[in-house]
Amino acid sequence: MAIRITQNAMANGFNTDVQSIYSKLAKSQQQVADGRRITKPSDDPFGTGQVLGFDAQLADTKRYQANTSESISMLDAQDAALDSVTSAMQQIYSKAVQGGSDSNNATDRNAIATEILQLKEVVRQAMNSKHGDTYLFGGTASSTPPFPGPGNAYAGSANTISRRVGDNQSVQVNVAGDTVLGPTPTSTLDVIDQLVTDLQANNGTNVRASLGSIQAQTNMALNVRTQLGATSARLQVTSTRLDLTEERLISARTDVADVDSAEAFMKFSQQQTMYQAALASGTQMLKTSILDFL
Amino acid sequence: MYQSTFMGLNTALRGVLAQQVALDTTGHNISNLSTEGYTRQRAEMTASAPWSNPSAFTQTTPGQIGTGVEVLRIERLRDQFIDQNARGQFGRQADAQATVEQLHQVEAALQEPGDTGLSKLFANFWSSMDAVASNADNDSARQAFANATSALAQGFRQVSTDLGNVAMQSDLRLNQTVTDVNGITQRIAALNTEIHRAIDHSQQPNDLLDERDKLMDDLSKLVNYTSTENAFGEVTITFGSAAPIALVDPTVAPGSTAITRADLDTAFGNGDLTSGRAHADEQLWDPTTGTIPGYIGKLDALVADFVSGVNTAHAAGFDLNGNPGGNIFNPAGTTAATISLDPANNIVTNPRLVAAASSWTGTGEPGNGTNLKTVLDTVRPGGNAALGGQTWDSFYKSTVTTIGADAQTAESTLTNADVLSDMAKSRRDQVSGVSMDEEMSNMLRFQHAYNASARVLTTMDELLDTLINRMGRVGL
Repeated sequence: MAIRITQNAMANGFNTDVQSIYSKLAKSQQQVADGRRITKPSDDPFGTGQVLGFDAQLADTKRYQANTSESISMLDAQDAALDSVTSAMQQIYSKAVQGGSDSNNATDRNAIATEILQLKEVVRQAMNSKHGDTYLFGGTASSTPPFPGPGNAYAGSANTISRRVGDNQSVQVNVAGDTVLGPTPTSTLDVIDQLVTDLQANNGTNVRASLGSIQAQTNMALNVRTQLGATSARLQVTSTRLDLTEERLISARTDVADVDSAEAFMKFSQQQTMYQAALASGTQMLKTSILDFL
Repeated sequence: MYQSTFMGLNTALRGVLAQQVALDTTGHNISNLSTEGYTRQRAEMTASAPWSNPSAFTQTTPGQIGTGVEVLRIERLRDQFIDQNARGQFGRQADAQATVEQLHQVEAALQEPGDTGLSKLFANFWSSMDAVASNADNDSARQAFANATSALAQGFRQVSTDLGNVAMQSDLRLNQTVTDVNGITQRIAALNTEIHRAIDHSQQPNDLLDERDKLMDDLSKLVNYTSTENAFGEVTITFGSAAPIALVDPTVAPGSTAITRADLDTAFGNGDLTSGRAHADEQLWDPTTGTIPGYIGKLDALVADFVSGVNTAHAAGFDLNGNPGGNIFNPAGTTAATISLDPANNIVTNPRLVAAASSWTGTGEPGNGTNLKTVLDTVRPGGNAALGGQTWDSFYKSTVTTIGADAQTAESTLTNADVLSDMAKSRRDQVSGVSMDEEMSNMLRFQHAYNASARVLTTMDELLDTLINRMGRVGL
């Protein structure tokens, strides 16, 4: 005997089919509308794990980018401060050359000494400059001035500050003040003090002899500037690399988590056609029965 | 000896009456076209006992003479084997359905992947920690880190509460299932009595049987059971095989077979409970082996390791006042439900207590963020023995993946169960369902048969008219 198909079976089958097509249609519609392929872990458990991984890496990368740009601005601030130091030193050098000439008498040398003392304060102030609330050259002792005076001693810390710019990748972003000026009692400030003393003592020979050490102290600051410049350049490269990493992560995340909109829309249209076909054929079929012909 | 003059009248009358019964049955079928659980009925007709010439030796009349038709019984077209199979499928389908519903709620509680899930809170925790490591003397960076830490703890507590609620729903629904099972079995027991009575009176209680079959379908969606039927049409329903429990027993008073929640829990424990909504809920809820308590347990393991790991690393540093670091998290809160900031060292109300510095020499090192930097560089990416060698981040990630995979498996089980249960329903409908086309063509058949029988009756009437009124009138 052939299988008996009843009106109820037909209607139930129709309902089940329409339901199943409709729920697929709803899913495709949601994907077309919000563009997300994974809205809950069961949509793709492995993919969800990947997406969580990408998200964590993205958050880290954003932090590294922030660290990099903050570090670059901190290095720039140090460079600007050291620029005032070196230019003050160069002025001190030319004053010293002037003061070394024996055409000067004691009064002239005293006047030069006073000018040099002013320039020394410029150096000290530059070394005490702040970036935000942080003293730039105090090491980790960042809330107190590294050269508070009245003496020339370095009051900062020898501990360095470094920042993370990648997984297990750090960059030292500070220079301790005594690295720029040298350790007491032979620091730049001490050398300047000695020069001032010699000028006030009207000792031309000693003044001429100190030119070499002034030059040496200036070079020390210049070397630090070169180092900072190199670090800054390296960070620029790092920054570009981080931007690329971010782009790569975003695109990888999109590949896993988001739908290809063209494909999603095509699937949606296909399902819409199926839905309409099911409705059309179903309603045609269900409304006919033997009663129409009796 | 000849047959009675009126015999033809009786034959035609039987025909009229039998077709009438058949038409009534057709009408009953059509009326119940959309009644759930209805089984189509058919008037079984058979030729009535023929009339034999009682003469012992002469063949004055031909053989036996038919006396028409009679309705033997109203048959119910049902296949017990299909029913049994269908009920098995209904049980599995209800099981899968309940599991999927609950696991979807678990997923909703996790809110992954998204901007509000724990993974995002973890990411915020680490990146705001890095901001403090990079700007240790910055109070607002410290405050942001303290807030992110507090949000992470709160996120854990929220997820734990939400998962606990899903487990509790299953727990409560099991109590509801017990009530439902007892309600159904009580009605089945009452129907048993009525069916027995009808069968004692040689009646065929078709509609009562339909009602009982429908109840047994409903029962199969709650728990698995086996049933047998005795000669009086009464069913005995038994649940479980290791420690069988009678759900319906015609030999005892109705209502004395009610089960309790403890019965369900025991049956789940000894493997007697294998399908239906009760099975799904027991599997999800059970505090020792349950799926959802298992997820909470994973989060608890993560929290315990994370709290002690972060606290130890943090305590190795110095805060902004130059004191050795305290705890970030309350060391007593080692579960996802209880993780909180240490009230004795509350970094939210006093962010200077974050121990960012690795040393505190001289006049102090407020710019020292090396302790937190070490946490990020070595503690965070380090494997944890308590978590099977995984890092905190990856352990959480794999927990989410596990939950997703479980839900996905449950979904595909449900899809399968849906198909099988639909197939079982349609197989049952092939046998028991009412087909309108069939009923209508039957109706035409019965109507014509009725008309024809009535015509035979009229013809017999005319014959009698000829016999009585026209004969013996010669000469009148």
